[in-house]
Amino acid sequence: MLRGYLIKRIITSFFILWVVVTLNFVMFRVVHPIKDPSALILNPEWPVEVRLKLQELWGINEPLFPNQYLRYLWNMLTWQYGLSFDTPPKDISKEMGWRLANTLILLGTVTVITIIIGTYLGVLAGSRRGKKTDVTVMGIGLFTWGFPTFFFQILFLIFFAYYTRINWGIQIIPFGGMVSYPPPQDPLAYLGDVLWHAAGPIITLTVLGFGGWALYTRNLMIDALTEDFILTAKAKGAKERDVLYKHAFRAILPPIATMIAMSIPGIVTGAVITETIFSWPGIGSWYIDALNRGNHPVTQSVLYNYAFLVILANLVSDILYGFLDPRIRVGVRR
Amino acid sequence: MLSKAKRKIYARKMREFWIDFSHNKIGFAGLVILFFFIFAAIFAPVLAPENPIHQKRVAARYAVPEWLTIFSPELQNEPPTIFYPLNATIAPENSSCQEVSVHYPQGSQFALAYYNEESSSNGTVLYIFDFKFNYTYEKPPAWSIEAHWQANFNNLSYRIELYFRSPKGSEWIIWGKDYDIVTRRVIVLPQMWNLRDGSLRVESGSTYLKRRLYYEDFYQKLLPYYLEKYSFINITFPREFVAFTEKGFKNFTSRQSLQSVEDPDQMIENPIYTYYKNLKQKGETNLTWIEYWETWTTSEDYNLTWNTISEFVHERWEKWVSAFMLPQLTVYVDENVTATNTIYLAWYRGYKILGTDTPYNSVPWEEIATILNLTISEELANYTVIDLLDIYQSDISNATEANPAYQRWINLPENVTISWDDYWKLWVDIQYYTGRTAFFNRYLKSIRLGPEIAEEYAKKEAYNFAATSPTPTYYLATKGTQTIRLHLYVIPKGKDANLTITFRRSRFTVWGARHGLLGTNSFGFDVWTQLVHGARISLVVGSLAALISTFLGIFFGVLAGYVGGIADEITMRIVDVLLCLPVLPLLLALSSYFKPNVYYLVIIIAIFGWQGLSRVIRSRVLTLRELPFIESARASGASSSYLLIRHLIPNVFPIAMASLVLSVPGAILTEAALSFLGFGDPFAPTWGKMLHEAQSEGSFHALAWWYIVPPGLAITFLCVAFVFIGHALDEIVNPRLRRRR
Repeated sequence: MLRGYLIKRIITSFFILWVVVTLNFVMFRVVHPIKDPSALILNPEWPVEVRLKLQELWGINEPLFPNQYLRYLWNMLTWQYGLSFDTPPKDISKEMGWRLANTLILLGTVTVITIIIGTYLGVLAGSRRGKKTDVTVMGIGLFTWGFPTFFFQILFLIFFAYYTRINWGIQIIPFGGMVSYPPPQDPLAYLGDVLWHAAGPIITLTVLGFGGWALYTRNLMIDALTEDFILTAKAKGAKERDVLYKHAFRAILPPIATMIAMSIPGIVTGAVITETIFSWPGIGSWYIDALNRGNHPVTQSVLYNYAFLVILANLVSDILYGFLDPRIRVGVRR
Repeated sequence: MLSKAKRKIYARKMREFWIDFSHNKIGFAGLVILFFFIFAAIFAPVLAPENPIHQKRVAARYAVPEWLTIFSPELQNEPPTIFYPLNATIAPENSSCQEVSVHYPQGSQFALAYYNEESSSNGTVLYIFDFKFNYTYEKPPAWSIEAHWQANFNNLSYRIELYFRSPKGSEWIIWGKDYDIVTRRVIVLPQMWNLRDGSLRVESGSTYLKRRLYYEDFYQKLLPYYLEKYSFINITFPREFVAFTEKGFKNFTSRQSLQSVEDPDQMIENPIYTYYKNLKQKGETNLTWIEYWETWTTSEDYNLTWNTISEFVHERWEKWVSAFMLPQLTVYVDENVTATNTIYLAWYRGYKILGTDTPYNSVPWEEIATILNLTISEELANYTVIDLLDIYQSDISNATEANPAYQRWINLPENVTISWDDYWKLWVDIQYYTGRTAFFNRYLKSIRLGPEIAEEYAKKEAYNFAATSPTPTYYLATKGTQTIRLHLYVIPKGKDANLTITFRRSRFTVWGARHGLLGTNSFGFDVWTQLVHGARISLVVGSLAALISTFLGIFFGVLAGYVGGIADEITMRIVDVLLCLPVLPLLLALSSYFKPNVYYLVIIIAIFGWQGLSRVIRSRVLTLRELPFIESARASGASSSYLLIRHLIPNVFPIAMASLVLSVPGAILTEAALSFLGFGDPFAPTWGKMLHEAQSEGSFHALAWWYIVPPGLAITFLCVAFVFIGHALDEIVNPRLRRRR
């Protein structure tokens, strides 16, 4: 049963990946108005032979289907993204590598902290339903869930970076970026500098992020605490803490695990606005910059990357769910 | 439709629901907040009468809100926006009053007529006019002066200088310019383009129709016509034209390819130059040959911000456009010239950039067609001409209500528009060829130029200029009566020199440091207007997107759950695919490559938003389907549609309602995020766009909190309202969360 489920999910994932890649191709090659990108880079005074050579190099002069399409598929699947449209053209895979690392550093930290705080508070609130803890956690959670993150980040940045600096001369948060210029030489100071720059995004994202988790966990907890086996455990004399964590929390672990797995693609894709506001050199701000400048190879590659990561994360979450949910692990007879 | 009993039951249900809801404090609070937003959205034209899309400048950059004067009274000394009309008086220092007849015709401020009968020039005559106004505030953050006048003159040249005199008597010159001959440039339309085989191709801009116009036409018809009409011609040619080679003519394949000019073996002479040389040798003309050399640079080192766009466009536009767009025959027509009439015949490639002091007329296409014996087709009549103005000259006060944002840097006559498709094509071409986005090109909505441009420009003979003070340190620093002094120098050059000059609608504007309920943004636009009108768009976008996605969710959920089988499989696969697409990046890519419009956004958000709901509904329908009452109904002979309409969908409704309300903030936030990043509809006055402008225009540094905080708070409260309402609905409706025991 498990094996059949897993195989089905893997095949579906490949299918979805194929659909996304084709969508990418259609959107950026077939439909897009730019037909001859060689003029983007070249000085128009150069002879036409140079342009034709470049087109041949890029393979644009071949027909779209099937030559370009197959080559595109192969390149995407082997992560050969080619060169960007800057001057000088950069290797996209390398560029994406370190930018992805930057994004992951920031958002990975944020996600971990958010999940820990959120689930803990949610469990706490769920166990004391209707009391002050519950209402406070729920109120804060609801409020921060509806609060637009980018506005909060703008306010945070303005007050702690601009306002204090302009009015009182103190710089609590830097204006943006990942490291100061010039970067400090000492590795420990460098780390501290990066942390100082990351403080803004991390604080704002965790403050606004834990609400959703707390709400979700609280609802699940309330649901689980009404089950009969909790009553049994209590009747058997289990400690309050054990009831909460050993019994109820374990019961709600599968959906929480799925949510964790579902939020992993959010680590990469959810950074766009944060990186723009705080000028964090990650993959999101690179994407926006490429979109604004018409840097199409970068746009294509980043979009494909996002989709790939999302599909991968979904696959992982499904596999995880398959392992955790005994109905699938053992198999249910209809 | 419904029976009375049914109606009573529903009424009672609604009442119970309402009692439940109103007891839920959170939900009720959300409803109250939502009510305020709906009120603002409905009564937006009353609360803020200005058109939010075509806003006019009302104060200086980042003017503070007026109510701040309660908290800091020293703001009372800061000026509000004041318009001082400039009514002239003849200055006491006027040197030649006896020759002036100054009168005040209807509707204008004053006019001056000068006439000199003598044949020899009497030297320069100076007229001085004073415009006085009283100013008692602190130094303004910005001021501007506009003077409009119309001059008809003959056999003379005149010069205008504007001085600023402080109350203490010190004087500084603001602006001065000579007007020697009235140069009116006439643009011959449509564009003409060199084909390599020796013919000229005449294309009309937007439709790109091609019409062959051979060199013979130019040499034997156009040129002689203008030569006969005007006896003095200047011909200018761009370098690329000079560099065409004969070999290139024959091997021409792609129009972008140009031979380098560093290939001297292959240079041949410009055929028009040859013609000119022949004429000159025969003494049949007093043409002057001027070659216009363009230099190519490829260093794209301009930082495209709003302030540099004008230089960017100024310097680059001609080059790209002239390389890849089509050349244009420009005919300068001089009237009222000194000794001889002069015509500038410029073989100019691309779109010409105009300065504000060179208005132009366009030769009607009919004239060219008559000379060349061409027939006009419908499409050829649609020519495209774009003028580019320096962005700093944006305070042209004779702009009317139809003054969209692009007129800040593209000056068009009134009532003239380009269709979005034409412009988009143009923009895409330019983007294509340059690889960069001229960032604010997005703001160009519709410019259509047609044959009426000729008439418009034929009527426009006024000269406009606007100057803003870069450093207001000494202007208006002293309180009291300020004077703007106008010097008009008239230099007659011959017999019967005459000048009639009429000044109208001139004014001095002090742009206020405080304005309005919420101050102004970086362009000087009122913030309150944008805020109130943004409520409409947010509410509409959010509700529509949520409605459509809920509808889709119900539809697909019921389809998958009830019909089952292959429909179930397909639906679930579609849901899987849609779930696996990264929404925000895809949205960004879509709106960056295709026309960003608020309603397309609604549809796309809805397309990405229905999956969650459909899954929940599907599972609910699956459980409902097995319930005994459905089975018994079916056994009694109920059809599927009856079951669906009467039983399943009403049972599914509560979940869908809660989901509907809870998905509105998501839609609003997505739209706000998109606009914030710059990819939204540039003409919709949304809150996200306000935040975007705040970030990109430097309001962070200016600490202009009145521009940053209100839209963000508005988004926040709207979303929070919906979340509260949705949470309350969820608690009432969702059986899981009901209190047990």
